[in-house]
Amino acid sequence: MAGSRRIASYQPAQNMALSLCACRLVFRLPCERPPCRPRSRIPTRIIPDSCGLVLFGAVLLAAIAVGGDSRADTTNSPPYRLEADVSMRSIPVDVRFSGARIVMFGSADPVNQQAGDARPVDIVAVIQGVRSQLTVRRKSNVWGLWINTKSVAFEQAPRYYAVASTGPLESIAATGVLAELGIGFEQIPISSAFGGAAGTKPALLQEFRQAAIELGARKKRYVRNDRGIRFVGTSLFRGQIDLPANIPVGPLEVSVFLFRGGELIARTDSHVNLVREGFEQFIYQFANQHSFLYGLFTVVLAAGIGVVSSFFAQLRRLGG
Amino acid sequence: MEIYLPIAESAANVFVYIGMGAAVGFLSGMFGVGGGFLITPLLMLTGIPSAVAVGTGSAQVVASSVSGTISQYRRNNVDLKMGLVLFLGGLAGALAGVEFVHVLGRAGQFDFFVSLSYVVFLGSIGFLMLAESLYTIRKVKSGIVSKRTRRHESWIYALPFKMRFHRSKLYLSVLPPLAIGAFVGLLAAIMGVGGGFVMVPAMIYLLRMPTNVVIGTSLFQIGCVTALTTILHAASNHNVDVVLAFLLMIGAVTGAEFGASAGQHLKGEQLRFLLAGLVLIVCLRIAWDLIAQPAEIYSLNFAREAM
Repeated sequence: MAGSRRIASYQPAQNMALSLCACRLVFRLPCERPPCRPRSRIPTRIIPDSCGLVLFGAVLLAAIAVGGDSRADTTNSPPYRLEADVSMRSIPVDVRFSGARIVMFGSADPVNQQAGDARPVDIVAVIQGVRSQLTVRRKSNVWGLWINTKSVAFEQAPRYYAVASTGPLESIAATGVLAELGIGFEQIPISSAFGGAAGTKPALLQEFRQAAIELGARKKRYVRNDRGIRFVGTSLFRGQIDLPANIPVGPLEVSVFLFRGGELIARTDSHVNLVREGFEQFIYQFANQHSFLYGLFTVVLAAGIGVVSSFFAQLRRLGG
Repeated sequence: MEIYLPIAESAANVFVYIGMGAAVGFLSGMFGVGGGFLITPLLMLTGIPSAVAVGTGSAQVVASSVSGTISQYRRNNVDLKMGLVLFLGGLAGALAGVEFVHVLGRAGQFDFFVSLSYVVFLGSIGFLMLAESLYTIRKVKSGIVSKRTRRHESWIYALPFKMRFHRSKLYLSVLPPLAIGAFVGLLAAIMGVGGGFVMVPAMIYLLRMPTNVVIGTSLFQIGCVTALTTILHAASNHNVDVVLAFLLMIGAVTGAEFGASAGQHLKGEQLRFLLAGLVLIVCLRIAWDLIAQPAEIYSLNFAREAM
């Protein structure tokens, strides 16, 4: 199973300094008292959310960032330590599954804070689902009937994409910076390896790409929430993303980015896994691995229900 | 109560689908049809992917036609030999149909083709049935009882490979039943229906089978063909959702009981008139979607990952 992974180690000497020099930073959003949640690295199991809809297996996500990230590291000593956590690493998809809520929380601790530096800190989280081939089709009116007439096949597109942030993405960083990191709707990685080969015009490709993103957004497949993450207290942040019931089952990549003054300071990456469990897993495997038997089983079930119902009908006729 | 559908990959309200099954079951019990032509479009309307709707709809038809066949068999209204010959044709048709669904799906024309088939077949059958039932109702009112004239010199009776069908009192070439069976099998696979609305008129007007045997025999053949298409869909397209099918079947067999007793209070031509109306309504609804400006010009189709 995909677990949390440490992408960059942090110099231990600086690690110690942080939490105490708690620093007055200007945050963009109103602060609350941080919730009494231990920032332990040990997975906390099942945190019931207020909505009560979803089970939470709280698991430590990722640790630390920066240091090794050359893009972000402008000085030798990174000014922040980013820790982030998701409420669960594994989301069970069982009979009662009707969507899930991923809660992310973490802290952005100033480490090497220069006095007087009051540039705002922003957090952006990106959740991406499994990628698969995407065919976008366009209908047009042929002799009065609406028929799919044009299609463009993209080699890869995420089946789910959500971005949550502490503010409008445009004000957090420049488009170029966001593009490089794959943040934002315009940056949804819909790649078109077929496009060039098939000789599809770039304008057409762009049109279909744009259509896919807009339609995906309307269908809640692609989600953007500029207020999805909030700072609670000076360095703690918390955010949530609601996954719809029809989310494709599989791993979700979660990336949390810390920006300050338009620059990427730190990032952490992790995975949340949507895992079929119990009955769902059984049926899914049955249907895919023994598909003939599964079909036979469905037919026997149907015939059985037919036989039983005719038996009851007969009984009633005899009885009444 | 929400339940997660493993193949359709979304959450569904249990009562919506049981209720849908019951409503369709009521109508199918009343009119003596499988109800596939109602259940498949209804599933699509509620957002079930069209491929899953077709595969699952055929599973539901198995249940109602098995139940129907048994009660017809008790009344000795099933010509098993004829049913088996029809089924042999259906086998070939269904195999071709499932493959056709595959090809259409890849070309992105599946939804369009299914809709078009519905409009063409439901439209023509519904119109014919409406005309016939109105004609009969008017005739019954005016008190004229016409004798059915039988043309015995049909070319169908000149075909080779003759076989005796005792129950139907026919001595007939096996070719026409095989062809009809194949055609119905093709429709069954593509449209997720049993095909009774095509087969019953074909048996009466082309094969000249006695009317009392027609319903039972067609139910028998429909049960066999939809069982086959369900297995084929499950095996090659992975589009049969057993949980969804179960909900529909439970509703359908319950509804069919009430429908059957409701139907007994109506005359044959009145039933046919109502059925024709129903068929035409479904036809118009689907036709509207083809003609009206769609809400979304674009559609997204993610490839299903193979396991």
